[in-house]
Amino acid sequence: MAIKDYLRQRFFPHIWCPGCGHGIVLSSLLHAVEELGLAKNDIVMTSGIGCSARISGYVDFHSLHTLHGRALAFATGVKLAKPALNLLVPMGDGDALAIGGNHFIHAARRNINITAIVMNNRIYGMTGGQFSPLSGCGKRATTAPFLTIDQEFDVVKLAKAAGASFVARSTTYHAKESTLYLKKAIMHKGFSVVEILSQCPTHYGRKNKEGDAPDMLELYKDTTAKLGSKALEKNPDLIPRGIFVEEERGEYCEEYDKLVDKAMGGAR
Amino acid sequence: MGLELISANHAAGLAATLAGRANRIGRGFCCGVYPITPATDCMEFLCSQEIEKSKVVRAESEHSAMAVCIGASAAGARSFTATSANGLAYMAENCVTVAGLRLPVVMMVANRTMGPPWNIWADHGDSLMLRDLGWLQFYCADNQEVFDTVLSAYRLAEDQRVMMPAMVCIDGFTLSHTIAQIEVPNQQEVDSFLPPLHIPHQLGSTPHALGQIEVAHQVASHRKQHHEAMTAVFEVYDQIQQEFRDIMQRDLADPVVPYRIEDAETVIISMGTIGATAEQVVDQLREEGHKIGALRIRMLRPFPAELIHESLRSARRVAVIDRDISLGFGGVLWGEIRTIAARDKLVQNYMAGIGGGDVRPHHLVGIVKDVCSREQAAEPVIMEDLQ
Ligand code: SF4
Repeated sequence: MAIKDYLRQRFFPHIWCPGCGHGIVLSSLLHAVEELGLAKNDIVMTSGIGCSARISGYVDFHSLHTLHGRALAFATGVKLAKPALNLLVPMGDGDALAIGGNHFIHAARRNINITAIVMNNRIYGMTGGQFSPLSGCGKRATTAPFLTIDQEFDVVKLAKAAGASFVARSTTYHAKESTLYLKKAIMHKGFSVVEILSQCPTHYGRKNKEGDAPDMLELYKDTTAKLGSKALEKNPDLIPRGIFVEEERGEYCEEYDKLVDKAMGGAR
Repeated sequence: MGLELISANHAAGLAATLAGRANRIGRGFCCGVYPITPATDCMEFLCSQEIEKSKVVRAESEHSAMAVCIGASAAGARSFTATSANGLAYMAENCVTVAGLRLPVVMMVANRTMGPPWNIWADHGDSLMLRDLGWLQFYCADNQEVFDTVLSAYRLAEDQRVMMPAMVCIDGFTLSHTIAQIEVPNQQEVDSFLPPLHIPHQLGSTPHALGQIEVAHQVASHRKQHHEAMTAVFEVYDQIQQEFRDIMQRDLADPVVPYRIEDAETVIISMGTIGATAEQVVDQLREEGHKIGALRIRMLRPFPAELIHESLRSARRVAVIDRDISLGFGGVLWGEIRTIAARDKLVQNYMAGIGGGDVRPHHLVGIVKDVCSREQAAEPVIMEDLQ
């Protein structure tokens, strides 16, 4: 199937600002789905609220546009009711880790077979540029005219500590890499987290003097490095990209089936 | 007193800031906030006002935002937050808590349609969902009223005879984002209107327990006390209006705002900005010789039953306009009005502006014509497509 066939073009033009990274993430994701040859009918995408969440309107999968922060909890219900479906959950940083932080760690802890995509632009875009739990210290936002004093989460470390069995990070500059990680994440049996740094030139970029979209993409190129690369060895301050966790561990739906078998004494 | 050209969102934030600063000789000001359209501007305004003995926690959700307000208020700080629609729904559990703990937190709600389907425009369904929790509830019609209501809500909520949270509701966008000139008192005037907050059960004085387990009769008597405090509100509000007039040299609006109602045979009842449109329509129809008036319900809780009853003395026909729908019933306001309107009056319900539909003068003229053509009231009318 061609990439275009996975899009609901009747919903276009999309709402994203020119230069927004979210379109690049969408493209990486559609390439992953296409390269894996997944049928539209086998994919369910649940999303929350925010610029990122609009993705679920644009893809021609089964989609459930839910509440701010709760997409993973809805996805948990869908997955347990029909484990054969592929669950894709794109989330923004505020969506995934502020209001939805609790669902994030608990989905990871259960190791349920869902692919969570954290589109991290370090800001609440849709409401107009308030800082998020991923903004970090010393940043400017509409809610931080005197700069932030709040520490940030590291999505990779958090996902790892909470029990996700597949964890990767990429950026919108590295769109092909993103596709590769997303493919692996979708095929992985267990809870997978792919963090993709995605620029918001409208709010984060403008407020923090990071320039326009091409400048911000350049910044992703210059401030990140592949795991195991010489660059990272030389400069540990660079943000590592790559696959951080890829482990086989009991998946929740399968464990649940085993439990049912046991409870029924094999009478099923 | 000075003049400001300001949006209603900012007017609410400014009133809260001045009220917060007025508690600087007490335990200060502390808020929890979380962004949501169309209330975001208000919390952003608050975040840009770093003031003496004041802190704004940019919380991780509306639920936590209200939790911060509760903690701060229990510790004796003045507190404020702002939200809308699903943010309010998510906050609801703590809206129950703050009322149950009898803490005088003030909240601005920029009324917005509850999703799904997702929609960011004005609808009163969000705040009405929390009508019965034990909050004072106000609905505003213009920027000055938003400022005055937030300021006086502190005075009312913190009165020892009242002591409960207050919700100030403003129509999303229609009012929240409209910029208008308002009169703003200086800090000294606010200081004399709003004495430092004293919460009798505040933490950090003598050790005591808040929010413990109670058996049925204890719950019932606490609910009774809360209900009785609600009935005390009208008398306290009268006094506050007097003091407001003395200090600010202008009037604080009444709980219900009648307009050309003395001899009116037909009355339009509404809440929020539709009330302002109704006044315009009354003028227009009066010129054509209709005996018509309008009544705007500003205070919904406690419910000013007597004032409404009194205002409807001469009315024969009443059109109740609801920007909400209680599914399986009809308009929420209509339900309330029906409990007090005398049987000889024709009370007809029109649900207009649901999901943010723009309610214009000609829609109200149509409603008046419709109500005047009726012999008796019928089922509530849902106005789906406002052209
Ligand atoms: S506000 Fe930021 S995140 Fe949202 S669409 Fe615009 S650029 Fe993208």
